[in-house]
Amino acid sequence: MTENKKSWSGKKSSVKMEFSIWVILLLLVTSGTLAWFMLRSEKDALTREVTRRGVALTQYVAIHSVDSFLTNDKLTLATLVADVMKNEDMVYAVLVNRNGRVVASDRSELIGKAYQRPPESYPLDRSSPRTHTWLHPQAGWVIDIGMPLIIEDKAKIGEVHLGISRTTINKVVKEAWQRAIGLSGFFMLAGLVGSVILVTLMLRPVSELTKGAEAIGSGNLDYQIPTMRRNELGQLAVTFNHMTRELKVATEQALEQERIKKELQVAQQIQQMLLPKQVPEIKGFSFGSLYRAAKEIGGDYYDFFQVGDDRLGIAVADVCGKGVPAGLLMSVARSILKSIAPNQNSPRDVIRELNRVLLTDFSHGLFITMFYAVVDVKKKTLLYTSAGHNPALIYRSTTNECIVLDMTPPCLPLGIDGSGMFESLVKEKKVSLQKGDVVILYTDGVSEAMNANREEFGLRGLQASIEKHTKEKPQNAESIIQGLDKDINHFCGSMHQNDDIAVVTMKVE
Amino acid sequence: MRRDGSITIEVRKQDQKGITIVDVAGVVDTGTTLLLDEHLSALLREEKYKLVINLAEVPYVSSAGWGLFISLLQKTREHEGDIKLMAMSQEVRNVFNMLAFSNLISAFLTEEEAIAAFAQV
Repeated sequence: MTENKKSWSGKKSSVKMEFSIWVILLLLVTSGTLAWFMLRSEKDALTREVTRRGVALTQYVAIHSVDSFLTNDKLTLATLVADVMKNEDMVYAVLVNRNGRVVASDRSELIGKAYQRPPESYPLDRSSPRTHTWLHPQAGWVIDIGMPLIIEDKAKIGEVHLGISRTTINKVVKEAWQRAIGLSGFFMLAGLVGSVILVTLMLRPVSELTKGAEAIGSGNLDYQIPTMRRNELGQLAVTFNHMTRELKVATEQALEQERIKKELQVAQQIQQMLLPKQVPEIKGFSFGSLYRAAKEIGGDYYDFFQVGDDRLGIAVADVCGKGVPAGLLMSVARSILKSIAPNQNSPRDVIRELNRVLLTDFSHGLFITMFYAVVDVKKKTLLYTSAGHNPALIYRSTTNECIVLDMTPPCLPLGIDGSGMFESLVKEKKVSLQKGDVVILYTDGVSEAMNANREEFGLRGLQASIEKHTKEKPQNAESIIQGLDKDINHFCGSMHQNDDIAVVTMKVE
Repeated sequence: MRRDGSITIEVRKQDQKGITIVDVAGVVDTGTTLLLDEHLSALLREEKYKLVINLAEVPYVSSAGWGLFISLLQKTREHEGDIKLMAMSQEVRNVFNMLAFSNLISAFLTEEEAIAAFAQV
């Protein structure tokens, strides 16, 4: 947690730095570009101005020197040159005659010599004036302005060349650059401070969100982030708060489900306790049992009861429906049966009594089907009855066949009729048992077990399985039921168990 | 017949004789019984107490389904009505017989027989 916090706060400061760097870079590029364009245009304007002034001076010299050229008045020309040279930034002033000889110049040693054009400049034609910028050996960059002297629009009698230094322009531009850099520096500093403040302000809601996330992370689902401004972060806070509320509901539901699950587990344990922990051990008989609930709690039930010294009661029952309600009804029925069965030799009487008591508790539409048998272990007889339940099967060792015990006419399930109809319908029947016979009591979850093709295991499947496992080699009741369990599993495959399954087997050894 | 666990319930009213026919198609198991119960309870609220449940398209009725029919039987008879089952498949009839419900609920092969049975009462 602490480590997370550290890395998170580290990220926060890097956001500040990142933002500041980007702001500065943006300012640098913007102000640099702006300054470059502005200074360039100022430099151009200055150059134009200086050139314009130079051209005006050249024209002035040209106009005032024409007469002196014609009269060869060198003194006036020299005075004119001297006057022009008084101008600031004037580097040179040269008057050249038609033969290309210098007539007047600020440098007297050049007078009478051939005029040398600035390097890379062309001879003047009749158009005028013409400028040419060149690097003067002493004065640096110089704008040369040349102008031919034309009389009567025809004859060229000479040329005027003035050289004006660019030093002032460069100086002004340089100063402007310095100002621009200073100004940019100021803006960048302001931008830096501004961006830090901005990021801090912007990150404040984020730290609120962080605080909220930490609170929720530590289990406080009641935490709500204070209302923020209506921007994206505010929206995020609203979403966050909504999420927290949803999370709280979901957590409570999950806890509730967990509680229900635990209660179901406890109920399941209780139900397992209500079923016999082991099958009876009686000489000359073996017993087996199988119980699988479709849900946590099953509605099927089986039990054994000691009835007097020589008799054993065996019950298999099915409550209508599944799950907790069925399980609860079953536990009620079990309690009643536990108190009745040990004292009654007649299965019919047990079932009648059970129906009477259940009717006082059961509401509309609830019923239990039950097959109940009493085995006389001495006489090896089976006295049985059924209340709407699947009749038990008997495997006869003499015929090697598994057949359905006769239970006609059928009787209503328990818990429905109190009018006397049940009493009159319920009958008990008796069969004698031979060595090797197997009695199978089961619930419809076995015969109605389904595979993926929606085919039922069926009564035939059950009979065939019992016959197979009893015939193959000498088996006891437990191994027969294990074989049956495997057959049901194999038949159903991946199909989910749809109904509770309860089977009891008894073999005469 | 559908065995995929889904169910369709259609209510047809025979207004002249006050008899309502409910056509059910699909498996009547623990889950679908709840839906069927909703439909049938709604009919009872409308004071329709003479019901014929057509099970021609029902391959299987679970114990919860039978419980619903028994409960319905008691409720309709309290209002001088009744329920009658018709056109049960052999599989459904086998369970019906095993539960001895023929002692409580009348079952018929055809709709005409079921409706005629109401007239005789």
